[in-house]
Amino acid sequence: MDSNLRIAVFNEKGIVPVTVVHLTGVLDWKTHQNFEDKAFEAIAAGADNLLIDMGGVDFMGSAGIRALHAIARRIRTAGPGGATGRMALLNPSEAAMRVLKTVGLDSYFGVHDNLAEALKSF
Amino acid sequence: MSGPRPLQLAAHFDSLKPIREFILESAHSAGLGQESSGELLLAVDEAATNIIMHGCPQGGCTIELEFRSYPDACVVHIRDDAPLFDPTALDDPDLHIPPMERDTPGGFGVYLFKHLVDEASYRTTPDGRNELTLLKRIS
Repeated sequence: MDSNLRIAVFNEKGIVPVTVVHLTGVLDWKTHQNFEDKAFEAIAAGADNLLIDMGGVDFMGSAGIRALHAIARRIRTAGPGGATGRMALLNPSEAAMRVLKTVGLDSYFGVHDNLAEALKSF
Repeated sequence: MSGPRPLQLAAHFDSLKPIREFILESAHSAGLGQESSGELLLAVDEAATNIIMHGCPQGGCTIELEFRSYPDACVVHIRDDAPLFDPTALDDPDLHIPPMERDTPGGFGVYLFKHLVDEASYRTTPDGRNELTLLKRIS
């Protein structure tokens, strides 16, 4: 199990522009800050619809909750003129879903199985 | 009862990777199923993280993991020489408050390790260390 987290940020065009943050590797206390920083950079650059692709997360601990919490709070005022931005999760791995379900976050975020469906949700 | 030799590591974030590898390999050898192994892995990681972050943030402490396999359960003893503290006595966070409405998302690490195993218990060892014991039944 790699102890690094690789993060790719790219834009998709659905009904509205959506910024996808793709995670691969371990989301723990060593790596969560890098995830937060990359998401914050995207928000600062104008992203107000964030889709977090968690299909490649090999391991996620409570640090992942902290990161999602921080990003969700930041995106809430990321829309034009401080309007509410939106955030959803794509295809969480078994390891990610285990944490999300145990603390009830799976019912708080929109969780989608595939990209097309996720893009339509924004 | 059987199990590998106990693992001793510095209470540092760099130790989490070998801790996870130790638990996964031990759980596999013990015949624990994939879902239960994943739950035990997460529970032990959170318990060790709690020691690193809150028990011994200044460094200099040691975490010892002992994995024991029984016919019906796997047991992990997590010992450390940080100041004595019983994490099982902490109250659970109120999950009815949407996590994003909280100012700080604290308390989830302890919640995770308490709720992902069948039993979590704490004692002070005869030599004065913390010992958290996590039990996962083999179903």
